[in-house]
Amino acid sequence: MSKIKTVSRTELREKNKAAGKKLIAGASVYVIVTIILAVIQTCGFELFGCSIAFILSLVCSVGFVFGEKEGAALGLFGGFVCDCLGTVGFSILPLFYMLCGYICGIMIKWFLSRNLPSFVIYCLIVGILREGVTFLYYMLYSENFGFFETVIKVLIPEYFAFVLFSPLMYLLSVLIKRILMRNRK
Amino acid sequence: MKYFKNKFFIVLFAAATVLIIFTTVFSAMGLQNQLKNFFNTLATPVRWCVSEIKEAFEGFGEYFSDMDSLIEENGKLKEEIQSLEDRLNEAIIAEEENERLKEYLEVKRIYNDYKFTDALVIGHEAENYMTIITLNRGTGDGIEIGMPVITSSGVVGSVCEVGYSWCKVRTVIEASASVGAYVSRSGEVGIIQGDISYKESGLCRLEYLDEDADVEVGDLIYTSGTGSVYPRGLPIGEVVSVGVNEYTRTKYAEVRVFSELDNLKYVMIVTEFEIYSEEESLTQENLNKNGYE
Repeated sequence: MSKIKTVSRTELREKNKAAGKKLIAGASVYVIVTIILAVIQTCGFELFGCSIAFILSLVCSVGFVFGEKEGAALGLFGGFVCDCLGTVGFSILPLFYMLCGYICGIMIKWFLSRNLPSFVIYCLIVGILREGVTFLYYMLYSENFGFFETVIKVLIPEYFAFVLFSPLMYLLSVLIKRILMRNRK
Repeated sequence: MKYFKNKFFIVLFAAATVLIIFTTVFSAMGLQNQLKNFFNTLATPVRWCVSEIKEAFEGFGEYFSDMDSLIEENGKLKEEIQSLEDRLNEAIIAEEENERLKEYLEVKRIYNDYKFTDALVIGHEAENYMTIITLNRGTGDGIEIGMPVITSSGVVGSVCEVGYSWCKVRTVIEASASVGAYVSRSGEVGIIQGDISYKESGLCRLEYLDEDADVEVGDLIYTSGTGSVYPRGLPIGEVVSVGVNEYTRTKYAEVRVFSELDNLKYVMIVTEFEIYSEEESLTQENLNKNGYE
């Protein structure tokens, strides 16, 4: 006969309370980190002459480390913040970032393992999609749009800058998760 | 596809779509700037902090990016220094050459009836404290033992040893040197001799003067031509003190030689000179004196 473990209502309430606290703490940390990184991203921090997509890296890393829901939520928020602080008009960034964060979480469940090389592989793919969005931006907002010039001077440097910085964001997310888990214990 | 059909995804997707529509409408209504302004105002303090950090990082980065140009500049400057040093050395050599030629011309002008060979001082006798010097001329240049060596200031000494490409000169202050000399003012005759006690001071003694010889401090001493080693009338030095030898009852004078023996670089070896009669020599002496002065 298998024993069914009974949990009291008070115990459940305590557990939910602790989980809620953890969620709020995690969300607060990520909101602050997202705002800071969005500011850094729009402040002219450049690699290879292009701004680095810190937020996208962060969103992917959160999706990768915490799960698809967290990734999607942060993607929505991060995309909105980027749009608000960016110089160009409003765009599809919230939707794009949300999808990136969400799919990243799903990838772990489907076929990717949760480690740094897998994350880099995922970022290589996301980077291509991101450059597609950037390409659309340039087509819409650049007055003197040139295909090859955009690819060589903007897309390729931006892509490599994003891929190079993404492991850093992954490590940041792993660190934050560990801190949150420790607090929970 | 279950991941894209759950409630959470649908809600979030809807929220994102609404957000896009909302912001697009805002943009179309011209309210885009207000919203951006609001967020940018909120971000201003963070942006300030970030820009400060960025500047610090940029400064740090510039240090390394400037490093290459600094290394390149350093290399160029080193080359320039090397080039300037070379030019300076050339200038120093040219200056020395010029000094030597001037000296040579001066001697030629004063002693226009002598034949000279210019020579470079290449060594001093260590044990004899600069009283014997070595020159870079020898038998190959026609140098022989006994030839007088002079500068534009006066007598240096005479060749005492000679090889094919070198010769040694015994200076007038060397203890074993003896040079016939006379006092130009009074004509008193004596012999210039070196003295071991005078070597460091660069003095020598005019010996064998009569007890009542007319010699005073400041008198100029010239070679008398006695012994045919030195031509008559070459300046030797100036009397700095006068004394009497207690034993021989003869007068002597301490003479400071005109040639700066411790700083000699270039000298002239007199290879040929005329031996004049007393009358001729007096005339020649006057000519030389005029030239010297």
